[in-house]
Amino acid sequence: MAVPDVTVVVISFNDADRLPRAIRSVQRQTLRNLEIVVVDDASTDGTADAVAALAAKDPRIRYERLEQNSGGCSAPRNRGMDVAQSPWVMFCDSDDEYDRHACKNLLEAAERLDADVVCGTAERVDVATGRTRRWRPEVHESERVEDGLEAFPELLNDTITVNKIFRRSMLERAGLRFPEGLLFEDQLFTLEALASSRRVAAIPETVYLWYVDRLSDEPSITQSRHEVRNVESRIEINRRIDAFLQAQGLGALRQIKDLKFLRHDLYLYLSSILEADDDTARALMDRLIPYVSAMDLGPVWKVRPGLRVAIYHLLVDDLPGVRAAMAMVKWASVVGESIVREGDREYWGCSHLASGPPAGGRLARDWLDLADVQPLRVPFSQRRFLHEVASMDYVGGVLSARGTTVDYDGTLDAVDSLELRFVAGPGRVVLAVPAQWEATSGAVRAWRATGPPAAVDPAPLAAHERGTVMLAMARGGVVSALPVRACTEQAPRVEIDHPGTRVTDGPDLLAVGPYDFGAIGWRAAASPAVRRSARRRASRRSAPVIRSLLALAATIRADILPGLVQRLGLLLPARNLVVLDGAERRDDIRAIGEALHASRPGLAQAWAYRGAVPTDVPSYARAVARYGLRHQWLMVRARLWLDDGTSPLTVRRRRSTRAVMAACDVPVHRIGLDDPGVLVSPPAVREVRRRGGRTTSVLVASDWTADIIRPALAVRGPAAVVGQPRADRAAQVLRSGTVAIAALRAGLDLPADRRIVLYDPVARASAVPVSDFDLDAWAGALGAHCYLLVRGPAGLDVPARLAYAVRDVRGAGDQADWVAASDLVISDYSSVIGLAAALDVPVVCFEPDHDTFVRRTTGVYELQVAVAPVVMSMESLVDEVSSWLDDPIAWDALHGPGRRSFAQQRCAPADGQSAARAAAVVLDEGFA
Amino acid sequence: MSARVVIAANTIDEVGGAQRVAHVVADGLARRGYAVDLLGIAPYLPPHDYALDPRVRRVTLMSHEWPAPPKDLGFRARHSRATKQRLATRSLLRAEAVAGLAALLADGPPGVIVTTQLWAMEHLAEVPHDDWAVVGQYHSSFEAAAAGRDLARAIGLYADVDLVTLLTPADADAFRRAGLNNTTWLANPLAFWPAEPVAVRPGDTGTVMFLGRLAVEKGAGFLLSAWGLVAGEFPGWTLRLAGSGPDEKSLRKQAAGLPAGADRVQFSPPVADAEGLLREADLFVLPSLTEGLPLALAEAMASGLPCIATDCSAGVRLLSRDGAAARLVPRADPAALGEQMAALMGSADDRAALGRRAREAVRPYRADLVMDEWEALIARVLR
Repeated sequence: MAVPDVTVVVISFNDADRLPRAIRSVQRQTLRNLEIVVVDDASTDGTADAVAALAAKDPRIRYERLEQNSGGCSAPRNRGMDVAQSPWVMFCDSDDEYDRHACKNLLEAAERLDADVVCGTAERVDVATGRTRRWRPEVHESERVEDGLEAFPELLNDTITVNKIFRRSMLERAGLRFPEGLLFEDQLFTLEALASSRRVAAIPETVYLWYVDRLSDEPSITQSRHEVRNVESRIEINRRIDAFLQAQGLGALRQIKDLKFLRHDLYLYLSSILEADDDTARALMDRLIPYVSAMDLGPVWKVRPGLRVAIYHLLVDDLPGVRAAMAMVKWASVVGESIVREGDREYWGCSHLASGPPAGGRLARDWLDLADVQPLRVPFSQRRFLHEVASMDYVGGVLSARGTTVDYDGTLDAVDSLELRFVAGPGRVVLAVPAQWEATSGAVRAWRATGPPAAVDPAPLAAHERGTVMLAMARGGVVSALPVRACTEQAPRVEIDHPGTRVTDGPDLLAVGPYDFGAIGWRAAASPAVRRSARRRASRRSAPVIRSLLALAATIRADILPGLVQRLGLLLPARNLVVLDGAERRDDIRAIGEALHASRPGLAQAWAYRGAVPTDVPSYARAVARYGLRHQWLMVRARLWLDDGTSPLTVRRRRSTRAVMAACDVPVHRIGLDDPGVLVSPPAVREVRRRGGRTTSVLVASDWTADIIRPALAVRGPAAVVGQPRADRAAQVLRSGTVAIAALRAGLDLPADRRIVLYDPVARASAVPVSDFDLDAWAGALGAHCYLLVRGPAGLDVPARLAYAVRDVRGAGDQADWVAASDLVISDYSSVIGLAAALDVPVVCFEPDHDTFVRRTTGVYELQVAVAPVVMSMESLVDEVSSWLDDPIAWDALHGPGRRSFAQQRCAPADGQSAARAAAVVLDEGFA
Repeated sequence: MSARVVIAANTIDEVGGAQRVAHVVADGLARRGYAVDLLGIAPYLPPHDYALDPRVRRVTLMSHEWPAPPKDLGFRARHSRATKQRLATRSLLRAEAVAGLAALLADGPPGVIVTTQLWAMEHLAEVPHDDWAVVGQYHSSFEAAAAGRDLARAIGLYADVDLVTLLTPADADAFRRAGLNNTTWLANPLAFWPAEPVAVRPGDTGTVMFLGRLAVEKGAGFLLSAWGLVAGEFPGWTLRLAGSGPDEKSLRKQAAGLPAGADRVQFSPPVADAEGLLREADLFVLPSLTEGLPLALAEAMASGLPCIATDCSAGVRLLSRDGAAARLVPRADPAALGEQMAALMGSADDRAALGRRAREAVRPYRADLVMDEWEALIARVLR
C-alpha cells in the first residue's frame, strides 16, 4: 500500500476489554487509507493477544509495546508519533471510540482549509444512561479557520488531544512531545501545537465519543483523595503553560487560559471540596491557594457569582465558606448563607463582608457582591432555599427526618406550615409527612418531620417512577417546595412503604437515595415478596396457551370492543349529556362547561382528559380518560359534543347529536387549510376536512374570525359569535379594580414593586427548537424594573440564577390569568395578541424570525391594523420596552388606539359574558 | 482509474425529476469511462424511454409492480384474505429485490453504490456491501424531511454511509445539525442546456406556463386562484398547465369557475420534451408547497424564461439566488403570486432582464460541470 493518509495512535494500559472496541472504530472509518498504531503501555492483561487477533485480519494495524509502564498517556503517545508514517496524526484512547467519519472529516477539512491542526467535536457519553453531550459546543458552532491561535483564542477552551488532527511536519518542526510523568499532558501539548500552527481550524462534525462513567466522575470521597495527587499535576501543567505563553510572547492569550482554568479546572476541585471529607478538602486547598493567589485575577469577574464567592473563600482560606458558596454553584443556585442588602445591592452575608481582607486588588465586598443574583428580590415561592437533610429513618411505619434550612432572608418565622413531600413531577405528591421548626442558630433553622407517611395522591406507583424529596413551606397561601439535599456520601438511603393503592406486581416501595445536583430523590421499587410473585406470574404467562389467550384478549380490547361499544350505544336513545373535550389544555372549554352548569345545573357533563386526571375537576363533571371505552360510550350516547378541535374522529356521531367546536381564538398565523404546513400533508388535510365536516356549529370570537375560521377549518355549520370565554374571569378581575388585580398577582406570587411582563410566543413547528430571546440581556437591562414571565417557547432555557428577574411559567396556570396579571405582553404571531387586546393589555411583537415565519413557513393573516409595535432583535425589544417603562401613558397614546380598534373590530372586547353566550348557544343547539 | 458505479433508484421507468437525474448521471459517468449499472428496485408501467448511453446496464429487480401497503381500515379489513395476499406479495417481491441486488453486486469488482432514494437504501441495507463505498442521496429539502417521516428514516439509514449528498449547502448543514456526520452537497445536473435562450415576445400576449404533477403539493390550485385575480387585466395572455395527476378533475372544475380568464386556461398532458414546451412560454410559475431542488424551475431558468417560484425550499432559494434570479413569493398565497405575475406580465423589459439573470444563475448546473463534481465525489469516497 502507498503512504497512508492518516496515522491513528491508539494507546492502552490493561484495558483488553474495551481496547478492541476502540480499534474497531478506527478500522471501520470511512477513510480507508490509514494506519493504526496501537501502543501498549506494558499491559499485564490480554492486551497483546487482543491486538494480535485484530492485526491478523487487518494489515493496517501495528503493535508497539513500551518496555515498562509509564503510568500516563504521554510516553505511549510519543512512541506512536515516533513510528507514524503518514503526514497526519490523530490520537485515540482505549476506552473511547471514533465516530465512523472522524478521520475523513478531519483530514478533508485540514486539506481543504490548509490548516495544521483541525479540531472536531467530542461528545461525552454517559455510560450509565447513554445520554450524550457535545463538549465545548461554542467552539464548534460552524466551520471556522483562522491564521494562528491568536486569531482563534476560543480554541484554548478545547485542549483535549483526541478530537484533533495534527500535521506531523508541524509537530516535528516545533519539536513537540507530550510531557512525560505528568497528568493533563494533553493541555500542554495541544496548546503548544495550536500555538505553533500557521493556520488552525474547527469543524462542527462529531469525531470522538468520550465515554464518561458519571458515577466515578461525580466527586466522591475516593475520587477526591485521588484528586489531591492530580491537583499537583494540574498546577504544574498550568505553570508550564504560563511559562510557554510568556516565552512565545503570547501573553494576550493568558487571560483566556486563566478564565478557562477558573471556570473549568478550579471549579472541579472546589466541587470536590464540597463533597470531600475535611482532611482531603484541606489538602486540596493547601495546594490550590499558592497558585491561585499568584494569578492575575482579572478574569474572575467573568465567572458566575457563586464560583467567584467560593474563590474568595479559597483565597482567605475559609473551608466552610468555600462549601457554602459551592453549594450555590453545584446545587441549582441554592443560597446557603444569609444575604445582606445595603442600599440597592445585595451581598453574601458571611463574616468577611465587614472585615475580610482584600484579594486580587479588590475589596471583600466586591467579591461578595451578588448584583447578578439578587436573592432577596426573588418572590417567596421561587427563592432557592438550601434545605439539607441530616438523617432519615423509617421504622414501624413511621418516617422521621431531621435537617436544616438556611433562612437567608430572615423571613421563615412567617411560614404557616411545613411538610416533607415525596414528589413525582408537577402536581403529583405521592407522600407527605408533617414537619416543624426546631432550634435556630444564626441563619440556620433546624426542622424535623415525623409521622406515618400519608398518601396525598393515592394513584399507584408506576414502574420506574421517580422523583424528589422536598420540603414544602406555605406562607400566606403561597407555597415554596424545594428538594432537600445532602452530599452524595451523606445522603440517606431508606425504603418506605407506599401507602396508596397498588397494582398487582407493581412497585410497593419508595427507595430514597442521592439524586442530581445534591438533591435527595426516590424511585419506585418492589419488595422481595412482590418481585417473587411477579416472577411466578410471568413464568405462568409465558405458557403458550396463556400467551395466546392474552393476545386474543388484547385484540378484542383494541379491535373489537370499541366497535361493539359504539354500535350498542347507538342503539340506545340519546341522553341529556354533554361531553367536553380539551378542558385541561384550553380554558375556553372549561369556562363554557362552568357556564353551562350555572345556567342548567341538572345537565350531565363528562370531561375528557388526556393522561392523568387533574385534581380540580368540578364535582358536577364526570372525568373520563380520553379515547377510553367509557369516553366512546358517553360520546355515542350524548346529545352534544363540545370540543376545541381535539375529540376523537373514530367515534361515530348519531344523526341527532350536535357537535359544537369552540374556535374562540383570534387567529394571527395561518391555520388549518390556510397553513402550508397542513396542506403538504394529505392526512392532516383529511383530518381537518373530516372534523370540519362533522361540526354542526362553531363558536367564534367575532364575525371577522368567523370569516377566517369557517373556510380554514372546513366547517359547514353556522358560526355563533360569542367572544373569548377564557377571558371572562380575567375581565371581571380587571373590571373590579386595583384591589382585585393585586389579589390576583399576590395569588400568583408576583412582586408588587415591579412591572410584570409576559413573554408568550407561538409554538414553532421546527425540528430544531431555537429561541432568540436572550434572557441575560433582558435581565441585565430591565431586571431592575420588570419581572418577566416566560410561557414559551419550549427550547428557551430559564436559568435559576435569573430567578430575581425571570420566572418560567410554562405549563402552569391559565393563560388568561397570566395576561390579566401582566402590564405588558410580548408575543409574535400568537392568538394571545387577541386575548391581550380584548383585555386591553399592551402588546409588543418580538419577531426575529419574521421573514422566515411570514414568508416561508406558516404565514400570517392580514390584520389590517397596527395592533402592536413589531421588533426584530433583542436590542430593539429592550429599547421598545424601555420606552414603554419610561412613559407608559405616552407609549399607549401611540399604540393603544390601534390595539383597541383591533379589539373592537376583530376580537370583541372582553365583557365577562362570553361563556354565558356560548352556553346559551350550546343549550339552544342541543337541549332546546 | 474508472471504477464500477451502481446507481440504485426506487424505479427508473417513471417520468419524474429523480429518475431524470439518475439517467443523466448514469449517462454522464458511462461517457467518462465508468462501468455503470442503473438499477431500479421496482418496475413502473408503462416504462418511460429515457435517452441513455448504450454502455449503461439497466436492471430492474422486482418482477412485478410494488403494491401499495394495505390501508388500516379496521379489524375485518386487516384480517381479510386480500390483505394477507397483498402482504405476502410484498414480502416475496422484497426478497426478490434483495437477492437480485446481492447477485448484481457480486457480479464484478466492488466500487461505488449511489442510492438515489431512501427506499433503495433500505434494500441495500439487507445486502452485505462492506467492500463498497456508498453515496446516499436525498432529493427533498430538510424542511420536507422534517415535516414528514423521512428525517428519522434518513438518519437511521444514512448515518454510516460514506457520504450523503443533499441538494444545497443549507440542507447539508441542517441534516448535519440533525445528527448526520457525513453530509455534503451536490446539485442535480440539468438534462439540457438550450443553445439559445427563449426570445422575449413584446406586446400584450403571452403564455404563463406550469409544468408538473397535478397534485396538491405542486400547488397548481393556488396558481389558478392567482390567475383568476389578474387574468382580467391581461386579455391577451393564457395559462397553460402541462401535467397530469390525481387533482386534474378538481383543478379543471376550479378553472371553469374562475371569476376571470376561465376560457384562457389550457390543460395539456405531460411531455417528454420539456425544452420544446418551454419555448412556447413567456412566464414560468412554480407554485409548489414543497420542493427539493426543482428541475422544472432550473430548466425554465436555463431556457432564459422569467420565473416566479414559491419560497418553499433551500433549493429554490439557491436556484433563484435568494430571489435575485427568479421572483419568490410565500407559499399558498394567491394574492402575492398574482401581484408578481401581473408585474411581469405587464412589462416585457422586466421579463427580459429577469430571464437573462435566470439563465446566468443556473449555468453552474450544466451537466458537464456537475459531472466533474461527480468524479471528484467518487474519488473522495474511494479514498
